[in-house]
Amino acid sequence: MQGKDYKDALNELRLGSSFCEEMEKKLSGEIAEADEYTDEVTHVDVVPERRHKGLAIAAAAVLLIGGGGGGLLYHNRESFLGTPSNEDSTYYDDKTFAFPFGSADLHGMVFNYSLGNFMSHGNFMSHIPSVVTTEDVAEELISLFSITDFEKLDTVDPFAEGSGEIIDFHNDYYYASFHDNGIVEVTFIQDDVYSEFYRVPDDTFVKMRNIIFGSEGLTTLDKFGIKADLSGAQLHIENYDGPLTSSEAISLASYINYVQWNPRDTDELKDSSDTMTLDLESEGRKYEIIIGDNGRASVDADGTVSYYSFAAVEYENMKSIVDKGVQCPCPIEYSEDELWMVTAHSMERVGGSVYGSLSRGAILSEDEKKELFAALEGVEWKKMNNSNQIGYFTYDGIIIQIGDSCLHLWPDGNCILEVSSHAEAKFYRIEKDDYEAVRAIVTKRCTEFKDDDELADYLIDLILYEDNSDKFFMMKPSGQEAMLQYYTFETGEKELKQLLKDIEWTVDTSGVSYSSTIYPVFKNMMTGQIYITTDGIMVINSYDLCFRSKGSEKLIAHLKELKKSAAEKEKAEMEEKTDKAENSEISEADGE
Amino acid sequence: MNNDSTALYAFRKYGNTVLRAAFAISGSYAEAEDIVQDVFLSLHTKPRSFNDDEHLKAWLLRVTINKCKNLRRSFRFSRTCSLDELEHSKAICEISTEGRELREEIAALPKKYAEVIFLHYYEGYSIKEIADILEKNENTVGSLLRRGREKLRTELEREDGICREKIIKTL
Repeated sequence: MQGKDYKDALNELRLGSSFCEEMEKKLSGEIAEADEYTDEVTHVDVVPERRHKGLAIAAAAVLLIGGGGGGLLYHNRESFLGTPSNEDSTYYDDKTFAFPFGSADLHGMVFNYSLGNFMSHGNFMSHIPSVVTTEDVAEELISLFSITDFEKLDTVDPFAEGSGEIIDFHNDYYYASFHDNGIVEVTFIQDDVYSEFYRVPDDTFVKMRNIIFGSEGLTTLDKFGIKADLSGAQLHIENYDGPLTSSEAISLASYINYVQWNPRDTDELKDSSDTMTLDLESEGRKYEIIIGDNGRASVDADGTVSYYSFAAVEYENMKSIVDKGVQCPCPIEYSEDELWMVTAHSMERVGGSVYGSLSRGAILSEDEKKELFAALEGVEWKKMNNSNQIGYFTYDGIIIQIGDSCLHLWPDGNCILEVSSHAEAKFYRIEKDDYEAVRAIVTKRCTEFKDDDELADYLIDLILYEDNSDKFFMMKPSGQEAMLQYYTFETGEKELKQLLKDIEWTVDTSGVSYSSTIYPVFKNMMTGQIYITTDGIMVINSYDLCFRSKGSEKLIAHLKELKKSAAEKEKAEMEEKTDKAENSEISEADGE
Repeated sequence: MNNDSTALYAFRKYGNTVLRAAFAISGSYAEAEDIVQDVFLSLHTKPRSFNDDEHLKAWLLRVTINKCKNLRRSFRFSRTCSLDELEHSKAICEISTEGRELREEIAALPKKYAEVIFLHYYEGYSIKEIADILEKNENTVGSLLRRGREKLRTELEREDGICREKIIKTL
């Protein structure tokens, strides 16, 4: 039996996109308690110590989204693209399109629409359902792509303008994201993770969007008996009167369509302390929609007013879509007493079309601190309500660390201030010109800074910070992917820190191979981890910095011994527990 | 910052494989949906390391088979794959309905044959590999495979239409 039909019949089943989204959310979250379903599988061998592929993938994934590991992404694309191991093997051959980055079966493909910032991986307030393409849609897409020129890019401009619309799809080989500025970002996901970039003509995105999501448009409001295009609507909020932007219209239309509105008899908007108003016209009729923070709304259609209630919590979500920010002073203060550290991240071509992530850092002198602070004070800061409009993972960001305050700034103007002693981060937005001015200063300082060892010592002190305890942690090999399983050392943090600081470190931008054993140590997960490899490399993931050393044998031997004893201790404890449990069962049986 | 976990990576890579295995073995769309969730959440709650993708996949299939067995022991289990069940499923979509009749036959296959048929005809495992996975004797696996194939063939012969002819040719 060839089994082709058997296989084909099963291949026609696929997980739905909404289910996949839900699962991905669950699997991206924190690990919950082990549940009742966990089966013990004893005869499928689990290797006790893995050689860091998981960490490499994790680091690579972070690196691709602008975080880092200092490691570079490489690997022979042909080595795995040439291997026909696709789980969902090409099923509809006639609907398969050969993109320059790899073929994809476009019939039955799941396309997602999201709004984010260029090169960010966000899905901000989008409630637009994913689309599984029909045969007709696949044919239309193939017609479009057949006449589309995919220009492979050697470099990518992180400042390329776009309104933030993204359409993406993925198969077992890669994720492809089509941005509305014509950039196509392809992230290969087999064996290793890296990106390639292409440019398509300006109108391709809109044509693609119309084919997949319908030409009627994503800005159509279809609620309250109104069917109108929100892209022409005027918005009135506390600090803004003017038109909605394209991405705001898309987000708001999808969100208003998504929210449940319940008719009410009376006007209860008067009890609201904040409102947002939308004025729009459709087919000669004028509408005014007023939404209040108390979960009440009114809709005036050519003078006929109706009232609604909705879940008040949705107001903040809708408001965040159109958040314009409030002007505020520079969120950090000048401090003579604290050391200031800055880093500048850049994405650079490593070889072929493979991009890697590089960072340089610097400790600032008093004069340099003053120069940078003056630049920051000159920036027009806007405080944002929340994170919904923030692109966390944008390339080419900079970090300014002052004491326990860490200010991240990205090329799209988004900024986050994290203070390790506070649970909540604060969000800001600045003009792109201001960002470039600040980045120019930071980049110059990083280029000129030569005392790599001082920088390394600063980071060691920052991550293994002084407190009353002498306690630290080391991630277990099996915990490196989930970042949650670790050995606890009640003493020895100071000794470890001293060993680390005794070494002469130099910044390394040549890339890290994760082929050697790795020791990830930390004191508090929030303040970062230090990864040390047996090759004498120290990676500070949170700051995307990487240091190389000579003479780290003593440190490596110390870490090796620590891990070995911790593993042995844990094993002994487990055995003791098992023995106790067995003895207890025997005692109970004897008792009976 | 988010780091993709093994479970997330496994779900993205082998989610559909686990779904298809779960359906083929449990014979139920609803159960398959539950099993997919259970398998990956199990891996999420108890992360573990794997040599490579093949090792990961073998582990996922093993756990899927275990979970199908457990379900069979539960009162909920019945080997049905009604269309209603599929239409009400949020988790599973049918790319085309062409193989629907055959899927009904796959679902109706007695449980003892379902595992070996899936592992052999879908995953392409040899009898020896299946014997290792299921912890059964190779001769037993060979017999199950032969009888399962005959059973499927007999059932299909009872069916009418193009589907039957098409499938029987390959048996």
